[in-house]
Order: sequence, then C-alpha cells, then structure tokens
Amino acid sequence: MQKGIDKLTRTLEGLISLCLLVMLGLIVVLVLLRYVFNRGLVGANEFVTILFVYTTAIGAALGIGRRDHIQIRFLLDRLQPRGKSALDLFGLVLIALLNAVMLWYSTTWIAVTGGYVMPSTQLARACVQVSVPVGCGLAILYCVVRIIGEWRNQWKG
Amino acid sequence: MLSAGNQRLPVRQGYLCRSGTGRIGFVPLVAASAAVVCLLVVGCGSRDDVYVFRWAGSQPSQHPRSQSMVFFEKELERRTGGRIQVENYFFGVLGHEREVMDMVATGVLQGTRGGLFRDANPKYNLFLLPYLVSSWDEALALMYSDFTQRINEGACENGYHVPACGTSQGFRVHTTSVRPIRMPEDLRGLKMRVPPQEPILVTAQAFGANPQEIPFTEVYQAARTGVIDGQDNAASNLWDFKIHEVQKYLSITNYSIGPDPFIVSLRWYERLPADLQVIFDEVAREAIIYSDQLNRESEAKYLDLLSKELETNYLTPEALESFRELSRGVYKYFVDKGDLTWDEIEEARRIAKGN
Repeated sequence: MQKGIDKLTRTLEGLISLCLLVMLGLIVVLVLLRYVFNRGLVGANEFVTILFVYTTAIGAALGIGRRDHIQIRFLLDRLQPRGKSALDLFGLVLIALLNAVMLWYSTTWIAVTGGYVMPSTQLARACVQVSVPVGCGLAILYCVVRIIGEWRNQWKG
Repeated sequence: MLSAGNQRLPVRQGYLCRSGTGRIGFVPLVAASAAVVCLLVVGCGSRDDVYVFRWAGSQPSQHPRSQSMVFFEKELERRTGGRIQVENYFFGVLGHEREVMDMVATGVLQGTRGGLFRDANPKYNLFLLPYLVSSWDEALALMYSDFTQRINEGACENGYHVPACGTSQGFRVHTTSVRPIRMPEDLRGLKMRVPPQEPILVTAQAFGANPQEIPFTEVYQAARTGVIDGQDNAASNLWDFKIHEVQKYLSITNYSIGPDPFIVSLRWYERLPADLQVIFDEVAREAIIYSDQLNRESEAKYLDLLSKELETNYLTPEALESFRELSRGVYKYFVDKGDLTWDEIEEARRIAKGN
C-alpha cells in the first residue's frame, strides 16, 4: 500500500509542479503582451486562476500527507509520546471529517451550479469546481494513511 | 490528580468543582452547555407561517438598487402583515456577486440582483448588445414588455424565479487617460478594462480595443498604474468608485444599458402560499420600477459631476453610425453561437421603438 501512496504522491507533485510552470509561463506572456506588445490574451487570466485553484486543492492534500501544513504545537510539544500520538490521531480524524463534509456539500454545489459557463474560456464551471471534491478526497486519503501509520507505530507495535 | 500550587489534590469522582483552582467544575460545565443548547434550539426555532427572504447585493446602501430593496422590504412586510420578513445585506457583506449567486442557486440565500444574470437565463445577454436601445424610454419599453417577461419565465428552467427585470444603473460611457473617444478608431489599441461579461468583452474587441479583464474594484489602481488606459461603465459607478481621479477624458458613448433581473430562488418561492406569491411578485415589480426611476433621475446628475472633473465629449451622428456598424459584428457573434436569433434581436428592437 505504501508503494502505491508514494507513487500517487510523486504523480501529484509532478502535476502541481507542471501547473505552477504553466502558470508562470502564462503570467510572463501576459505581462509581455500587455506592456511590450500592447495586447491581451482573452481567457488567459481565467485559465491561470483555474490552475491556481487545482494547485491549491491538491497541494493542501499533499501538505497533510507530508505534515507540511500549519500546526500550532504549543500543547503537542508538552505531551508524552503516547499523548502526542493520541492528539495527532484526534487532529487527523477532525481534518478527515471536515474534508468529508466539504466533499459531501460540494457535490450538491457542483450539481446545481456546475453547468454555468465561465465568461472568458466558456468552460463549464464544473471543470474548476471538481477540484474541491478531488482535493478533499485526497486529503481524506492522506489522513487515513497517516492514521494507520500512527496507529501502527505508537499503539500496536 | 489536579494540582493547586504545589499541593496535589485528588480528583473527585463524577464532578470537578474546585473553583479555587480556577478550573471550571464538571457539573456547571454540563449545565451551561445544556443551557446554551436549549437557547440555540429555542433561538433557531421559527414560526411556520413566517417566511424569511434574505437578499444580498454588492452595492452600498445609498445606491438606487439598495434603496429599491429597502422599499421592497418595507412594502412587502406591510402588505403581507409580516408573513414575509425581508433581510437585506448590502456592500457585498455576504460575498461578491459570484458567491452570492451560488448561494441563491443552492438555497442558502433567497435573492439577489447583479451582473451574473446569465446563469438565470443566457438570453439576458441580449440586453447588453451595443446600441440595441438608444434612450431610457426605449430601454424601459423593452424591459417592461412581454418579450422580457418570457425571458424572465425562462429562468425557471435554471432554478430561479424572476418576477421583474429593470435596467442596471444607466447607459455605459467610456473614460480614458490617453485620448477622447470620438470615433471607433480612437479605441484601437487602447487597453480597456472589461467585466467578466461576454457581450461587453466581444463589444470591446469589435470596437478595436484591447480588452483587459479586471474586477471593477481593482480598476482605480489599474488605471493609476497604467495597467489599463480606460474603461466603460455607468456614470453612477464611475463617480461612486472615484474613477474620475485616475482618468482624463469622458466620452458619452451610451452604447449599452444592462438588465437588472430580480433573481429569486425558485425552491423558496414555490414554498410560498399562492396569495403571498402574488403579493411578492407585485412588490418586486414596484421595486424594480422604483430602482429604474432612481437610476434615470440620478444619471444626469452623475454625468454633470463627472463632466466637471473630466474633458467630456458626445458622439457625433457620423461617429454613432460607425459604432452601430461595428455592433453588427457583436450581434452576429451571438447569433452564430446560438445564444440568440436575429428574430429575437429584431423583436427586441421593434418593442423598444414602440412598433
């Protein structure tokens, strides 16, 4: 299972790196067009926003998997290893639950408003909105992986 | 074990009431929690026969649209004897237009008015076509017609109820910091800000401008730093957002006047008893008429204020003809795309002209 998770993580990291590169390229082109050639690229701003949304949604899930997310460790650092582990598990369950709620509500949101088109690219809004359930689903997956790891390390072994 | 200073105290079974330690006792904690839950349950309860209509918009409270909603609130509550309670939220406090529109679609909010009317019915784009109407009389004749009512009814298919549609603020005029717009050629190559509305974007392209999509709240800074050369909007918006401080020329092109449909959640509306539905629609129509009246009266005042700050010009009949000629390309774009038909455009023009 760990191999599969590692492979997924590498794929997602590659994907968001690509998104960032395309974003950077597009922004450079837009600035050049605007200030050097006095031209614009219709829809480019919207496309950059779409890429940014996906980068954030997937990046947030990866952050949970790699423990790179913001943490307030004031209490955690004062606990014994088992207490620390218990609090960690509690935190992960809460994050997973929060993402599950967001995932659940996002399906209704997409079902109702996903068909509307974006003004410049004329893409259905669902193309962007899907990033929410995707990001939440990945976050839940990484929470579960970390819960299993924590359980094995501190409580079973 | 609990500690009080350096003394270790035994934890009492069942409850923790050691107020001297500064900790909250278990029993008071449970009692307080129960009291809060009871209060929440009682507080959240509502009378079954009272319907709450929450409306949100992005304009300030003194804006004609907001003023008409204050009128709506007072009149609707009075005529329904308080059976419908209206809660208005101005200044975009509940979110920007996109968020608010989604809230109405998902039933979190019950109503809004704003620029994302395309979600309700793509046919509303017709009203934004350049030079479709040329005066307030024409615009209002079209907005209050059966033709527009059919478009309002079409919004039901997308989950919205639209009891009435008016005009959005006023005719759009151009401002620039480079040169006055006397002919379409003057727009060529200028970086003009456009809102995220397809008809305005396509119009800017048809007129030869270089459209830049920027939210209106960022226009002031964009104009000041040279990101854009100009923009177009209704006079009241230009004044309210102090655009005259960062522009030099005002050209009264009056090329378009947007629609302002009163967008209501269909699910909420269908839950109203029939008698309340009738009153709701009636008051909504009156609010829209009041809004149009305020917008019409204030437009001249705002143009007067702006012309004191900016070098102002009106289009000559020849220039107007040139702009109208270029507008046909915009009409063709939407017909080719399948959003509108030539028959609909012709019918709208005929109604506006009173034929």
